[in-house]
Amino acid sequence: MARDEVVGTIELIRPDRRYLPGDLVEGSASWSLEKRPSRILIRLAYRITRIGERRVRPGAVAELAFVNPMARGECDFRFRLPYEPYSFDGELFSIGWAVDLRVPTWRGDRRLAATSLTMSPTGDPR
Amino acid sequence: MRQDAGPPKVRLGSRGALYSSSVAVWIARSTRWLLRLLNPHAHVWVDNHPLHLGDSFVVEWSFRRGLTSLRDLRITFEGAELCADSDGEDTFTDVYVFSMTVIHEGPFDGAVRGSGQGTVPRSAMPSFGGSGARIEWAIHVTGTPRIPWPRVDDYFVVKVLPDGAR
Repeated sequence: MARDEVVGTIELIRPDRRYLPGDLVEGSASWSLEKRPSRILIRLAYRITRIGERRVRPGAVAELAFVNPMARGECDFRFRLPYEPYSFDGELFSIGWAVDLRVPTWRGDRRLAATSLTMSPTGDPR
Repeated sequence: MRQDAGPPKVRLGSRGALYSSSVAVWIARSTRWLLRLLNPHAHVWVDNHPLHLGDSFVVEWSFRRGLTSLRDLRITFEGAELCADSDGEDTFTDVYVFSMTVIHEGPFDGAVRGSGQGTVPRSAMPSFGGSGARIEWAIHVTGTPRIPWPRVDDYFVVKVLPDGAR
């Protein structure tokens, strides 16, 4: 199987991807890999990005792990958002939320798919 | 018997200064810091600490007399983004103030104590501390001495929590 056929998707039930603090983030993930992975990870995390930098500082909040999954599969997930930090678009840095689909490799986790979302009392970044 | 003393009033600690590793800059800043010790020294209290978005609060301040006297006094409530940065030799902090409310501004009349009121903007970003980046709220006290001397320039960090985190 060619490398570019390794795919993953993350779909959120809420199409506008705007959430309030404490909301449930529900969706489904699917993957198609060359061989069976040891685990599949679905992670809810916020990321701090300095303006003008590509480097991202992640702050994982919750993670689901599926042990010994099939090479192709799909699953539903559900995370409860915390009350902070809010999504933030600042002058020096930004804070964004995302749900990631990852598979562990010997070089570290490989991200197969990611879907961003916003979380604040208005649903928009501060 | 314990009596209800009302909402807790919290004395705030000063924000620590960041110093460069350069010796010359370190000496200059140390001298400036020593001179500032002779200025009137501010103590600040905020009721209902920690604050929440949308909260109104009362700020009280007092000054311990120094060798210098102030010409003016300005007290503001500020929200700022802070990012730690480095150019290889020195570490420094980038600061961008995104919210500022003036609580008191005017000539310093010599009063040792004073108070004022402020409100945390409901649509603002709460305090946040991440790796190398943070949101910090503070009471900022500035004053100009009557003689050529380093200004009073002190930050007293205030914790601001999200509205739902009660």
